[in-house]
Amino acid sequence: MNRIFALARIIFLNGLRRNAVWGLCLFALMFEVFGMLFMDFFGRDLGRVISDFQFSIMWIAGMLFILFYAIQAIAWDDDHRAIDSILARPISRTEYVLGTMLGLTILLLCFEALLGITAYIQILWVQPRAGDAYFPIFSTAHYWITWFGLQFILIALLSVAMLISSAIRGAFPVMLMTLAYTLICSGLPVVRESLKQKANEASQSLEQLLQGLNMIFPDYAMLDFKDSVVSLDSLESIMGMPVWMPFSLVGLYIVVIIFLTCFIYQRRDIL
Amino acid sequence: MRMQRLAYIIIPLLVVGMYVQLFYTQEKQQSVKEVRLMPTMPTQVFQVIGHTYMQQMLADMLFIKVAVFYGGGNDIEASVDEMANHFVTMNKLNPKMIDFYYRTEAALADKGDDYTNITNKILEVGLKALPDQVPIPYFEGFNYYYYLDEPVKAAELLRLASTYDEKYQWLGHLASTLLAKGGSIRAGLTWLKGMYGSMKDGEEKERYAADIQEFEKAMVVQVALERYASKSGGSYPEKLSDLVPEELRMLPKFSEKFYLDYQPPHLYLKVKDKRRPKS
Repeated sequence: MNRIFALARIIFLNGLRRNAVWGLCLFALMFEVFGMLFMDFFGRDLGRVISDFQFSIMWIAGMLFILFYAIQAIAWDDDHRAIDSILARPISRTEYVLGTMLGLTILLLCFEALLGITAYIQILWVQPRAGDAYFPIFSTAHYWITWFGLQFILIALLSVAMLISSAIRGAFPVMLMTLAYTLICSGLPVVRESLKQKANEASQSLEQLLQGLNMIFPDYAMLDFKDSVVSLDSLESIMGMPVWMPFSLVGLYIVVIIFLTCFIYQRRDIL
Repeated sequence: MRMQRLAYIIIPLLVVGMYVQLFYTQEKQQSVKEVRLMPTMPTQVFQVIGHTYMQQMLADMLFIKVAVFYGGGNDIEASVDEMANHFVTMNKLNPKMIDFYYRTEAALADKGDDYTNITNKILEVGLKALPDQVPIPYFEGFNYYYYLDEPVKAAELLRLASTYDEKYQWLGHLASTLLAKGGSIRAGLTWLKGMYGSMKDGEEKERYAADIQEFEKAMVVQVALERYASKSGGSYPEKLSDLVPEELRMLPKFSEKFYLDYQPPHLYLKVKDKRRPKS
C-alpha cells in the first residue's frame, strides 16, 4: 500500500508542476466567470442556465484533462518512457496501475473541486440578485450530488483511458480510442431508443445485443443530475430510480475496469 | 547599418498598419453583407450530442445565437426556415428550457400556418416536459384560436391550463367565453391582454397592443349588438349599420389588418393579413 501511495504522490506532484494543467485550470475558471456575461439573454431559465453552464464547463475541463494530460502521463511509447523508470523500481505492475490511477484521480478531483467551489460561490452570489422570479430555487445538496455524479463519470472515463493504454502503445491512439468510447456511450442509448419503437423478432435479438453492449459502454446520462439543481423534487422522482443505484453501478464498473487493466499490464510486454 | 535598423522598425510597422486597415475594411464589408442563420446540425448528429453531458449548454448556445440574430435587425422573413430548424433542435436538446417556449411563440407562431403548426408541436413537447408551466397550454391555445381558427381546440387547452393551479381557474372561464355565442371577441381581447403581459420584447408588445386596440373597437360593436338584442326581445339587426345611430354613433374604422364579419347573430373580428400567405 505504501508503494501505491508513494507513486500516487509522485503522479500528483508531477501534475501540479505542469504548466498545461494550470493553464487548463485557469482557462476553465475564466470561462466559468466570464460566461456569466451571456446570462442576460435568459429570464425565467436563469438559474438552470447558470448551473448547466458551470457543470458543462467542469465536464469539458475534465475531459480535456483526461484526453490531453492524463493519457500523456500513462502512455508508453518511444516518446513516453516514464513507465520504464517507474517499473525499474521494486513496484509491481498492479501497484503501478493502482498508484497511477489514484494519483491522477486525486489531481482530477482537486482540479474539479476548485471549479466546483468557484461555480458554487458564483451561483450563491447571483441568486439573491436575480430575484425569485428568475432564480427561485437552488438546492445546495442537489448541486453537490450533481458534482459527485460528474466526478464519477470522469473517473470512469479515466479508468477506461488507463485500460486502453494498457493494451495500445502510444498517446495519440489511446486518445482517439477514448474519444470513440465516449461517443459510443452517447450514441448507444439513442439507437436503443429508436429500436424500441419496432416490434419484430429481428429487432428483439438486436435489442438484446445492444443491451449487452450497454453493459460494456454504459449510459453515463444516469449520473447527470443537472436538472435537480434548480428543483426541490427528490432525486429519485427526477431520475426514476434510487440515487445509490447509478453511483453503485458506475463504481462497480470502475472496479472491473481497473481489475482488467491490472490483468493486462501483468501479461503485457512493456519494453 | 542605420538604414538596416530603420528597416527593422519601419517594415513591421507597415505590415501592422496594412493589417489594421484591412481589418476595418473587412468589418465594413461584413456589416452590409446579408446575415442569415447558419443551418443546424443534421438530425443524427444532434441526437447523439443530445445525449451527452453538454446537451443543455448546446441548447442554450443555440438560443443565444437565435436571440442575437432575431434582435439584430436582420431579415427574419428570409431566415424563418432556419429559425424553425433551430427551434426544433433546441427542443430536442433540452425540452425543459422555459425561455425557449416564450421565444418560439413570439418569433415563429405568426409566420404562417406551417410555422404555427411547428410551434404547436414544440409546445406539445413542452406540455409533457414542463407540466406545471401555464404559459405553454396558454400559448398553444392562443395559436389554435388566433392563427388556426380552431376555437374548440383552443378551449380544450385553456381548460387544461385552468387545472394547473387554483389561481388559473379563470382560464376555464375564458374557455367557456370562447365557445359561447358572441364570446369570440371577448375571449380574444382577454387572451391578447394575457399575451401582451407575458412578452418582454418591446416590438412584440407593440404588436399585441395594436391588436388589442382593434379588439376593443370590435367590443364596442359587440356590446351595441347585445344592447339592441336585449331591447328588441332577442332579435338581432340584419346589418351592422342598423345599430347607428341608436346604439352606436358610428361604426368604428379598423386598420387594414382587420375587418368585422357579421353573420347574425354572431360577430367576428377577422384578420386580413396577420401572417404570411398559407403555403
